[in-house]
Amino acid sequence: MSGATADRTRHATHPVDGHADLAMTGVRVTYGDHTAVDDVTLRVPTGGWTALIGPNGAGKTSLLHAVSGAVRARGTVAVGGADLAGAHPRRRARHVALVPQRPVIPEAMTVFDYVLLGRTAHLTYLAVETAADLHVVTDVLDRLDLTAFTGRPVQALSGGEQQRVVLARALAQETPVLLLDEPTSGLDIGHRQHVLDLVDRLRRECELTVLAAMHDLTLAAQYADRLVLLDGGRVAADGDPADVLTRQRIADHFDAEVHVVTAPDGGLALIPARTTPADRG
Amino acid sequence: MTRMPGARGLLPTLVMILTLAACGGAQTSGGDAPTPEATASAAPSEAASDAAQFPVTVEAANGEVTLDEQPTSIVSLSPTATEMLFAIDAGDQVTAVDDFSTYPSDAPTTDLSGFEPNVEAIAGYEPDLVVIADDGADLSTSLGELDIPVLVMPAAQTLDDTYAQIEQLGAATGHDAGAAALVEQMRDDIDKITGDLPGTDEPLTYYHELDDTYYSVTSNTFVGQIYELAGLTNIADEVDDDAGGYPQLSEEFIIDADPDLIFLADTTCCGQTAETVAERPAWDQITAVRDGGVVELDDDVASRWGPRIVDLLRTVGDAVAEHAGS
Amino acid sequence: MSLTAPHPTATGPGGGAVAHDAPPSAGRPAGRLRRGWLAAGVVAVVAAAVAGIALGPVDLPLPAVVRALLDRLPLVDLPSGLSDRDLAILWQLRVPRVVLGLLVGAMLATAGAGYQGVFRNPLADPYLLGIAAGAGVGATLAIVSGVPSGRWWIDPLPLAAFGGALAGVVATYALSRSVSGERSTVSLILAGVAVAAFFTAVQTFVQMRNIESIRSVYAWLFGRLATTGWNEVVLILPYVVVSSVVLLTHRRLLDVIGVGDREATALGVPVTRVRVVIVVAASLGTAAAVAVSGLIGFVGIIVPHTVRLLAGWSYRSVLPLSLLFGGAFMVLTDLIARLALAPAELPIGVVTAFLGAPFFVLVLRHRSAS
Repeated sequence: MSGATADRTRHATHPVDGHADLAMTGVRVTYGDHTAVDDVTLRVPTGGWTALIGPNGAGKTSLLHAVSGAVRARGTVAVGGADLAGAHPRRRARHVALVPQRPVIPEAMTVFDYVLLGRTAHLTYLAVETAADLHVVTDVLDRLDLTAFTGRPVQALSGGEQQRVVLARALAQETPVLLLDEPTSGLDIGHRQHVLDLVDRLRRECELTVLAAMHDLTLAAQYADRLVLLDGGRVAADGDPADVLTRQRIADHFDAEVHVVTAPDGGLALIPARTTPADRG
Repeated sequence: MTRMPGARGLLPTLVMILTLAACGGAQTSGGDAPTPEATASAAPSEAASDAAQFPVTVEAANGEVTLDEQPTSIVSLSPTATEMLFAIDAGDQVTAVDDFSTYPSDAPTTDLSGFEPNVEAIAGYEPDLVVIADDGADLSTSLGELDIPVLVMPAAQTLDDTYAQIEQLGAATGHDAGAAALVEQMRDDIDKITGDLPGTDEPLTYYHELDDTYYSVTSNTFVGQIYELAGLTNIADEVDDDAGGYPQLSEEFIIDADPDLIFLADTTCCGQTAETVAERPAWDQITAVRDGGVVELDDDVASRWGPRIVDLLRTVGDAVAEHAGS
Repeated sequence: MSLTAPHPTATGPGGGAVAHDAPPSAGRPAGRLRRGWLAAGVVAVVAAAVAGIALGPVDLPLPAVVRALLDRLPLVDLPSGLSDRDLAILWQLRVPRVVLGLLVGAMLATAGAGYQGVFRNPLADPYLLGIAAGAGVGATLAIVSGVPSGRWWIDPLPLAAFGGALAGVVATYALSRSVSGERSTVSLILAGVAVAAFFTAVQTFVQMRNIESIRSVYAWLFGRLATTGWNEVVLILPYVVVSSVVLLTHRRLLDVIGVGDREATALGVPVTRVRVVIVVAASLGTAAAVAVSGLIGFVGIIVPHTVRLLAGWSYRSVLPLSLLFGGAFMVLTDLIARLALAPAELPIGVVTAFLGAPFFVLVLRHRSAS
């Protein structure tokens, strides 16, 4: 293959060298009267993993949608210093890729074609995919061990496999920033680990900047460098997992009783504390 | 959409009316404005002798209808009946006619509709006789509840039906003599016209166009019979007629049948003329178009079954005479 | 699709070489238009056209017709043996009618597919946004105003129908925007329903006030492929061509829109702009088709759905194949309309409805079975 193709593959998931930090300032999202996200400011450094945590309805999904442009929002969102406000969706989609929580899977669409959707941002308005685009898709499928499913309808896959397919689509987008919305929902304990390990591996290999909404606080603490706690659309805490995950804070924002312990590998783990007596024995 | 009476129809009718006047007895009021030979209205003695014929029982399509007195406030919702009433000199007794009764032009047209009759509106004219062509809205019953006699005079199937209706209207309005004279005049005129027709080796063929979607008539219809009197053969007769006499033809069929004469009964409704027909693609292949055999008819004359049917026959006869032997 | 054995995971410089070795079937979109179907579409069009030209109330022998058609080609001289009259019937009546059928059928089917894609609704048809009702009002007003249709070059009927159709779409759009700021598809569809109801009421009222023209109005409503020479074809050709080109070039984008507005925006598609372009193009083309042929229903639904059943879900197949098979379908239904009660003509909308209703049943049964 020519040098151009080889070069392309090497940078297959990292077209922006160096600066790929995600910085947002004063982001506001309103749906009619309801304010879902209220003046959120945070920054994820290049190659970092920040987990968005918070109770249901805190605005995590809305924030991710605002960053990816899926909903209209006020405030600034910048990747590598480049402000994306008012950018054409295609330009934004070359900087930010979203793995939605409940993706819409069109009936009968195959895995290959679904992942190929990720190349949309790299095609001009009426253009058709080139051989190079097809190569990127094949490569990504390979990377995520999905090659065996290439021609199968996405709907026919299991939950865990579908999750990988959606992730593959986001990777095919070749953006420096990856947004994940509850990537482990609906998955069993084994698949949760696999998905998060995969994301972590890809993050390191391709220097991706990851912002993930996560509802499992222990997993968030294990994988993310930093945690941002959202409640009522506002940032309630922002920092290391150890600083953010205190028993008091969990009680205040989640209305839950937990024990915060240190896991054998040094990471944090949250163990729910029963409020009603356990009847064992 | 208004329909103007064809100018062609006026003169023969005037002649007919004058002829009737000359025959003595019935005096007529032919009040059509464009012609100068308008005659006087009915004499009082005439009305007195007519009134003596009452009460009278008439056999109409809705059964036997009895009129106790000579009606002086007639409402007609049938354009043909309107023409008949005026032609038998009962025009003075007509109070209101429907919005399509365009002939004669001095008939008292109103907003009343023959298609969607409004019982109250009709009753508002205080009629003592109502003539309609179709009782689909059960008008005879509704008006009957108001003690207003109704005569239903549906579309004629044959010329004899026309004559019968004229006579019934004559009896109902106290103009028996006028009606009888009209019928006799019509018979005479028709005989004369058909008698004057040149003989042809082969009968001429014709196509009668009802609208611009090529609906036509078969010889089973009233109009079709008029053409038969003129010795013409109808191209639509070949068609399997499930349409009750009004089949739709297609352009290809008409062109292939190559009629000698084309009669346009859609000059008013659809703006068709000899020129527009000649412009139709591939129609210049038809003999009628090539030889100037496209005849424009008055929509109304061709669609009513009243006294002006004689005019239609005359127009057809003229066309036959012109094109015989071609 | 064949499933390939996993080949060694390769990253970095070697990745290019591995991808090159991958079997072709694993490296191409499943949704692409296959040559076989494209050929089938072309064959269908040609076969339908020949049948439409050769068959009719007047019996023209097929070999003579073929010779006459070939004779028209430059540098070909083949006497067909047909009389002048038969040739006139052929070239001034049948061929323009078949061509019109191809154009109208192609346009309705393509517009239907476009609407289905942009609204993500399998029941969307070209008449969705008040087009049918608007055209109906325009046509009814033209018919009852008594303007004679004899003078074809300034025939007001197609113009009025076209104007009415566009008025319907504009009204729908304006209504949906004033009601819901965010131009969602649901509000558009609902606005279309409201506009259609209103316009239909107006049309019915006008009809009842002018009851003697009711037959003309209904004849128009049920659809006719009547031609006066090549006038209609020339009239709508630019609209059909432009509209079809716009729709066809957007086939990839329609596939992307299938994942919903939010995801499609996140993937980089300016969804609202695409929707406007497609709706405008489809509406213009449909308005033109309706202007000359009346309201021919079901084509915009039957053809795209059949194509989906046969050739797959992707609009890369559905749009071009709907164009081809839509044209062929229209010519064939027109043939039935012309021949079933010859020489009378069934309104073509009746034929498509007769075919459409059982078709829906078949589609429903197929979907519930799978």
